[in-house]
Amino acid sequence: MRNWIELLSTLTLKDIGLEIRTKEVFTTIILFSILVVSTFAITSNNTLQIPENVGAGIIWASVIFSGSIAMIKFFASEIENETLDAMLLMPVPRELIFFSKLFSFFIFLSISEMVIFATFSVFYNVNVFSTDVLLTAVIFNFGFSSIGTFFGTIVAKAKSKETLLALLIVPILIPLAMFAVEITSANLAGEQSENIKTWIGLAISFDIIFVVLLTFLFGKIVEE
Amino acid sequence: MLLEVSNIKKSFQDNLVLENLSLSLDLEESICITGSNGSGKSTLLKICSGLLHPDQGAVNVLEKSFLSQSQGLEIRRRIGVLLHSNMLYPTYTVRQNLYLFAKILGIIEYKSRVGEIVERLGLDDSMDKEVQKLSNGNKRKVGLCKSLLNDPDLLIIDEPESNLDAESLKTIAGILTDRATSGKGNLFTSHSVEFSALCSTKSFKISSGSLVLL
Repeated sequence: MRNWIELLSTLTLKDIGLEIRTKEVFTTIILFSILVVSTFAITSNNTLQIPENVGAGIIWASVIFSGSIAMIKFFASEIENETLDAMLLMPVPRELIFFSKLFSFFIFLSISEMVIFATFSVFYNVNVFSTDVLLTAVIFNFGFSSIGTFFGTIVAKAKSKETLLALLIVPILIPLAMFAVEITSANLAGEQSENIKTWIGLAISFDIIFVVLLTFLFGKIVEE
Repeated sequence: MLLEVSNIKKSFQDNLVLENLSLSLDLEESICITGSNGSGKSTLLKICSGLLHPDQGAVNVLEKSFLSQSQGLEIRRRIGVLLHSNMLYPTYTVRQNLYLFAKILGIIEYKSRVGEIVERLGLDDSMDKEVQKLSNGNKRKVGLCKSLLNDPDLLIIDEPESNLDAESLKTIAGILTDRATSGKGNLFTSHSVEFSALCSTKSFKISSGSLVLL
């Protein structure tokens, strides 16, 4: 067990180290999201009167689309340099490769979201940061990272990978997106969602089901 | 027996690459596979290293099978593989790449082990250079260093001579010969008759998907 934890931390730190050098994932998520948030802010007549659910939708739509583009970059270099194959040739259980990618992307996404929340707060003059929204972000990011890691690996060799990945993951992410928008829009209105416990329970169940299922399937799809 | 391939068949869609191919590699053997481009040499090595599964037939490495996950991990702990690509992280330095793979392989004294191999392949001066800034020949040497980190019982290399100068080729031929004489095994492909003559104990040619002893 200790060896597995050591191996997992080595693989995760490797991905973080590579990202610190290239900054591809951070740049993609942050720039794309800021662009979306600022475009909406600039084109709206009065950003202070934007409905809460629309504001929350802008935040999470920008996270989903920028995250899926970043996910492609995250995997494209692995495929291009055949370093995913290098890992498959090492004595590393496939589940650990999946989890290391999941954790790395989770960290990249979480840090980038802080910048997106801050940008939104400035443009729309509201405070997005709250315990509820931060907890929502953690649950959302975990599910997004697991689904993105799985489908990112599948489409990384495809020609139209950006479009294909978005087409594959967006429909699956709808329940998580609904949860995130519900909690965030209530927070933007200065309230707490009435069904917050139900939503959190559903979202955590969604994460658990997908992580278990995709961990099992990941080993199968990378074998060949 | 280090490697036993029995009657394997592999095709990609309608293209039959390997058919009824069998091969065995024992201790102290160094086998060279030759053949024209597209004959299936690389596919055979990928199957022997567990990256591809044959459509039919069986592959046993160190008397274990890749089909079992625990046996597959044990095999990977004891083999070294260098395929056509060097499979390195281009933005990492040579040192970072080799330390990373050594840690993954669970080598405790990894710094001294890396130092040993790097010295033998003459890469001491390139240790702190990013892999992407190295010449193709030096990248190949780093890839070879990576495959030798765990002092593998079986070394599988796809065209070890590619991008290397005559001096480096002699060094690599020396490494392969030393390994074979010390009870390890090597399986490699090559287009160079001279290189094959220097370090193989047996040579086969892939023809129509099967092996022919040369």
